[in-house]
Amino acid sequence: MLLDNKFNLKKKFEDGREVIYISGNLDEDARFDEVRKDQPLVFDMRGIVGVNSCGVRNWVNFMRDHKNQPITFRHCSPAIVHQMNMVPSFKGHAQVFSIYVPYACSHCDAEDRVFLDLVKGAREAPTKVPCKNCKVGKMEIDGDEQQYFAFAA
Amino acid sequence: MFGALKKKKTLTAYGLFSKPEAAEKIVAGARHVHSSNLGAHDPLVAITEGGSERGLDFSYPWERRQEAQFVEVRSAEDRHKVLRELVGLLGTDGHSTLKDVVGTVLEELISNAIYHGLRLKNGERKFNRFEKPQLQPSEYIKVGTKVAPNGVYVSVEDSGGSLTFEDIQEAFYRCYQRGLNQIQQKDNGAGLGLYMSFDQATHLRIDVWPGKKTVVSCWINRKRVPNEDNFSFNYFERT
Repeated sequence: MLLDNKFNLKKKFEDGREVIYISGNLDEDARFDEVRKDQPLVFDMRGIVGVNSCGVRNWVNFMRDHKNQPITFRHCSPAIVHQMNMVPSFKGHAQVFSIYVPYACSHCDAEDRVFLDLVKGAREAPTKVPCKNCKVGKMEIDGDEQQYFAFAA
Repeated sequence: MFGALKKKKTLTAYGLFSKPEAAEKIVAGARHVHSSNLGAHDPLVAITEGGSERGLDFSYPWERRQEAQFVEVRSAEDRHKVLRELVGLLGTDGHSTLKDVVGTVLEELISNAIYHGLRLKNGERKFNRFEKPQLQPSEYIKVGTKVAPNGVYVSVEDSGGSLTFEDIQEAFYRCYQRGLNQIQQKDNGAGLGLYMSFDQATHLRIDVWPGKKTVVSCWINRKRVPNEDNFSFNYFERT
């Protein structure tokens, strides 16, 4: 929820490269001062739960300031995918390696998300998946599938 | 470039569109966009046209305002309190996607009312985004919500009456265009919030009484799956 999740940025070294984990709300408090300008950037975005208009502006400015560096997005949460589809400059020149697709159960309203590795060619999300909550209904993509993947076009 | 687009005056667009296509139509001058597989025969179109022609108060089916719950925002600090209260109306076991959408739309519309709706006499914005303003006694921002089984109605009314259709065209143009330089620091968030609300809402309606008040209201479907392509945008300028 947009109200209660402060933006957080953490760096970790994985397989000899730096991965930047961002989480919480991407909003007016989001700061990227500690991101280096002299190396390719890998962002892990699974923890971003909400994005507001000031956050979009901050991020687009960040992307513009780092336009000469290769940038990779991985584990993009639905909130990030939604922004990439809505404001094309949000994705900018970045390559998207993987995303989460939101699902909702038509029977019990439970929600889940399914991981998709786009590098391995998984461009299509499963149409229906069994609901782990009620075990009766089927979960479908929460929203329009074509629109959800518009960023990859 | 934008000047050329503004001169193309198309007042209405009825058909089956994606949200970016609808945004393009708005930029090209459409003050009323209805996306439906019924096209111009959609019953909502008749309501829109009746309202445009007569300029009278009228309601879409989701707008029974007497059932809505209203709260007033008097300062930037009130914003989050009001948001918590109103999103709390959705209950604890509600669909979290819906809560996020309603939270996002309310936050953007309330922020727009505070930072862009209220203006000085010379038309300049009264507050910038980094201030925590307190409203004057003569100013108000009123936020309404109504939770129904199939969706949520929200409205934000401010005493500014400063939102022009050209503001919306310009903002939408910058937002949906590709390229890295469309949204810049100097934008101060302007317009993007409205575009985000348009994108998230099923039906968005803006009524402006210039210099008096602006009411931005929308209906958000509970289920995102069915009828995703049924949506509308309407801008009415009142006297």
